[in-house]
Formats: sequence, structure tokens, C-alpha cells
Amino acid sequence: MFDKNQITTLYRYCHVLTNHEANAYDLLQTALEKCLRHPPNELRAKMSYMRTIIRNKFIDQYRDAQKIELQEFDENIVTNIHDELSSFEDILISQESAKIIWALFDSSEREIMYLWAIQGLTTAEVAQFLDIPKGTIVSKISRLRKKVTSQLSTDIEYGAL
Amino acid sequence: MKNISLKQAIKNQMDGIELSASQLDNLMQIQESTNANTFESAAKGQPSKKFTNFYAAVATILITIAIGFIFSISNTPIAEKIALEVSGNHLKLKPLEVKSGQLEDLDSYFTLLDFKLVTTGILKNTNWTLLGARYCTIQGHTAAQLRLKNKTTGATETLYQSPYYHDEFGSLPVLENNQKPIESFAKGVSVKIWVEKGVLLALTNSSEDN
Repeated sequence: MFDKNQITTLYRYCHVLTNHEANAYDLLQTALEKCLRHPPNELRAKMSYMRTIIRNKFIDQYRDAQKIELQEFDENIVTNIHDELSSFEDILISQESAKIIWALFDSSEREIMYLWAIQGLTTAEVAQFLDIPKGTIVSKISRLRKKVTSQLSTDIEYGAL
Repeated sequence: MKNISLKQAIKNQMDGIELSASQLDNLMQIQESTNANTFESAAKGQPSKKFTNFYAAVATILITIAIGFIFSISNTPIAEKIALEVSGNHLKLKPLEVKSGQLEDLDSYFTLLDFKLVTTGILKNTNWTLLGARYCTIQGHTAAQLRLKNKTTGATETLYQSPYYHDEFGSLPVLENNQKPIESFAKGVSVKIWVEKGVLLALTNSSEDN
């Protein structure tokens, strides 16, 4: 059973994926019902199990309805940085600018940032959780960094920072 | 404006996302209504090999039963299939995607439908208030479900509207031909099904007083 804090945490993950309150609640309820019908073998892993159900349900429900903002990945980006996500650690930003940037991200970008900032995962762990090649994640991070730095430049230009 | 780390900004952003108290209570109730013991015991560990063999035998039997069930379902009258699907959706009371008492507002929201919502009798009845609507599917077709509340009894019912394909759904009562709706029961809910202006409609009646 999930307590209220865990439910709230899972709802936030749903919100990260859908970026929509009602859809997030809907997604969480559907995933919860499935989880209760098919409980995990390891109780300790129930949060991770639920996140996986949520993600799969999200892809099932919204990809067909073309609600997922899909983008092509550039698999050719090569990097020597040890953990690409750690390069975000040094970025300083105002809360208002973060809100603007968040709105610019598509669902997969929000998910990566959520897994990094809230779940504390590294690039390799994010790739493992999302079950996609690390090169794809690196490509996404590169695109993310461009969006963030572009917005920060705009903020500086217009004196928002 | 004060600058903070991007990570902290995202954490703050997440902290602002909260379920309402009623939504949280609803999700807690869903868990409580499920047999918690089953959940906990199923989560205690991997079954032994002896039990795995037992489960395999049970699975074989269940698959056999399932094949029979699927075969029987395929022969189930369409009205019963629709009633089963509709009553299941109705009982879940999933959140509305659009809240409005005006059918025009709902019509403009449902841009993915390939038909126009029908202003059927209950929608003109002043004893019923339209609460809002959301997308759903009926037999695999994108459809609309409209939620209504009875001003007198407070009962909440759901009206479904879906495209009607004669080849697929077969003959169903047509209102314009003075044919009465089919009434079918599923999951304790009465469902009336009919065709009006070329659209398939299904209306739940979960309260006998309605």
C-alpha cells in the first residue's frame, strides 16, 4: 500500500509526463489499479514498480492519441563527459526562469530532468530506467542544455536575472 | 530575482504540484477497497519451485477457461458488450476533462470526434444538470462521455455518445423510428442503448429511483 506522501510523489511523476492535472490524476489512478491487481514481487521495489507501470501506461495511452511530444534522437552525438547530467549542477537560475524553461521541455525532457533532480539518477541510470541507449540520453541532454542556456541568455538580455 | 541551482528550482517546481484532498482520499480509498493482505502477501517474495509448478498448472487451466470465455464473449450480443463497457466506465467516475453545463462548450472541446454531439432528451430535461465530459472509447471507437446530475435525487449518471456503424453494431433501436431503447444490465447498473440521429447513445441508470 502506498501512503499519502508516496501517492503525491507518484502524482508528480505523472504530472511530469503529462503536464496536465486531470491527465496526471487519470494516469495515476489507472496505474494504481493495475499495481493493486498485479502487486510487485518485492515490496521494497513498489515505488520503482509503480513508476514503470505509470510510464508504460503513459506511452500506451498517449502515444496513440499523439499526445506525446515525440522527437527524433540524434544518435551521432559523442561526448567524453563522465556524467552528462552533472553538467547541470552548476547552473544557477531564478525560480521564474525555471518555470519558463520547464514549459519549453517536451515530456521526455521533463522526465529526464525529473529523474536527475528528484530521483538523483545519473545519466547511465536514467538510460537504464528508460530502457533506451545511453547515446540517446546524451543526445537529449545536449538538446536540453541548449534550451536551458538559450533561455538563460534571453533572461540576461532582458534583465530577468 | 534570487538565483538558485537548477536542481533546487526543479524540486521547488515539483513541490508545487499537489493532489487535491478529495483526489488523495479517493486514491487511498481505492487501495483500502482492494484486499491489502493480498497485496502484502504477494509482495513478500518469489514463490518456491513447488509453487511455480502449481501456478503453471493453474495457468494452463485458466488459459483453457479464458479461450472458452473469449469464444463466448465473441458471441455476446452487442448491447451486453456495450453495457459492460459503459457500466465499468461509469463506476470509475474518472475526472472530467472539461467542466461545463453547456453542450456547445463540450462540442467545441471534442475536436477528435467524427460526429456531432446529439442533444437528446435528458440533456433538455431541466431536472438534470450537465457537469462536464471526457473522452472515452466504446468498442474501440473514440467516443464522448457526458456526466449529468439529477437536481432532485443528486444521482450522477453518464451519457455516452459514439459513432454508430450498422455493420459492426448490428441493428439497434432507432429513436426516429419510435423504437424503444434496449435496456441491459451490467455490474449492477442499468444501461439504455439506442441510436439517435445516426449516433449511438448509452445512458446509465445506477439508481432505481431515477
